[in-house]
Amino acid sequence: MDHLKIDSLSKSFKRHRVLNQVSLEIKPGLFGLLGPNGAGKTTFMRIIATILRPDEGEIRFNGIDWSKNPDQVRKMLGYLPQDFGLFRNITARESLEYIGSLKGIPKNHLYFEIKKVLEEVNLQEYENKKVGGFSGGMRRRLGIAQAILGEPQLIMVDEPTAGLDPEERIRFRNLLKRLGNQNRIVFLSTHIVEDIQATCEQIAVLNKGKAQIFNSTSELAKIAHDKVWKLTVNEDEFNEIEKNYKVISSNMSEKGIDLRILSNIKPNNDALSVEPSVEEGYLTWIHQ
Amino acid sequence: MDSPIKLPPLLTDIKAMEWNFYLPIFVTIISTSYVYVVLAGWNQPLLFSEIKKTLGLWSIPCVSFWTIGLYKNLVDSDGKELLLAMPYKVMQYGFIRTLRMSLIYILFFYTCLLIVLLFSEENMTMVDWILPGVNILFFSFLSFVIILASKNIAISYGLIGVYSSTNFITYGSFSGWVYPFYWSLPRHDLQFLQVLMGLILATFVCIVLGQWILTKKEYLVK
Repeated sequence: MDHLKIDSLSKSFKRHRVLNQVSLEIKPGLFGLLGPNGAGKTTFMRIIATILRPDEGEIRFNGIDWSKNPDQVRKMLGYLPQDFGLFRNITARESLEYIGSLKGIPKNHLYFEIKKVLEEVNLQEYENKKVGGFSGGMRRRLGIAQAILGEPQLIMVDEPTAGLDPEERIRFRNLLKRLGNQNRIVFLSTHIVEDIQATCEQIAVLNKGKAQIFNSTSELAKIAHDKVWKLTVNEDEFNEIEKNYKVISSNMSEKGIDLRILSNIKPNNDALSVEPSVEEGYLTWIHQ
Repeated sequence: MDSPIKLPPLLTDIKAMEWNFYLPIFVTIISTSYVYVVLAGWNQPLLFSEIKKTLGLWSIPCVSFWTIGLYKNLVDSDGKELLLAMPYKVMQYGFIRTLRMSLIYILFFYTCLLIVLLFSEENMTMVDWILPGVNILFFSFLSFVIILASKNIAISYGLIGVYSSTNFITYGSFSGWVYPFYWSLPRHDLQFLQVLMGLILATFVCIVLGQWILTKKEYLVK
């Protein structure tokens, strides 16, 4: 299978440049796009979903050029946007029939296709229940079901775990992992580092319209090498440290407050340099 | 594997419209009952002019509820982005889908009209067979443009309401030949054919405009 190639993509709204010459090459599997809120992730996803047109740049996949064949792109795309609040008055099966008909899946295949995707997301028991009565997690799973309907080669999921409880979040991550193993590209956009850490083989970080690709989560973590410090302080010292440094975590212990700090220089003589986590690498990248 | 027909199932379309589907039916049944009970007083033969006034003024513009309801998920819901990313065919998702619901409404309207006419001694003329149907199509495609252009259900209902009431109160003085209440409240300075032409042309313009907006995904997603 071909790689998804994104070359020098730019997009502005009025005078605000949301994406600035973003270039990425994505191979089959689970790809994570990480970035803070307002970084341009949703704009980026909308461009790939052919809802927005870029001002500059090119996207290609399997020989299809986004600007020339948006209809072809839509046929091979499964998309779960951040908001999935459709069809509250109809059942899960009817929702999928609706989406399936728009995707052009023939009627004689549609019944079995729907059965298959509902099983995949573990919603088969609820197929005849109205979507309005679904929990946030069930609605998200139904969203994934519609995205994988018709076996698209490229699946895009925008902030899928936002607002989910921890159990549902883990279930959802496992589902995404499973989908990523099926020889297709699953493009996950999120601001939650744990989601990416738990699922993705490839990642890119997007901030202020610029993107950088990392071949692994450890490569992203390495950005913070020699910049993460661990120390224990009392309450007065903590206030002072908090004013001068970026505190990543603080935990109460018997000795005082255990801190992890992001800093280019050693904050004090007691501080120890520690191995950075993915989150620390990410924070270093977006603040540099 | 790809089917050439990408029209959502009719029943799902109807269910997704929610209350928008039931309201016009309710209004039409109430106006039909009103004609029969109040105007005819149960036993007397119904006057066709009274039927035209009541059904023409209330029931015909109500087709807007169906059309606006049909597109509310596309323009005014949390999930519109999902629909905009679908590989739907603009002609089928717009024109044909609106026409399908409008034709069902026309069938429903004429059924009610014919039922009421059973209690009248008057017969339908060619104008009565043609004009209400054209009026329904006009209101339907006018709503199609308005909901896509405004992307807001409340504004759409407001605009249709203002347009209908202004036209009704002024006898279409500002509408030229595009006078959708001619069947109910005829104007002596206008001929049936003029109105028919005006409405057909206006409907055509609405279809073209609506289809054009439907291709503008960047506008619709905002």
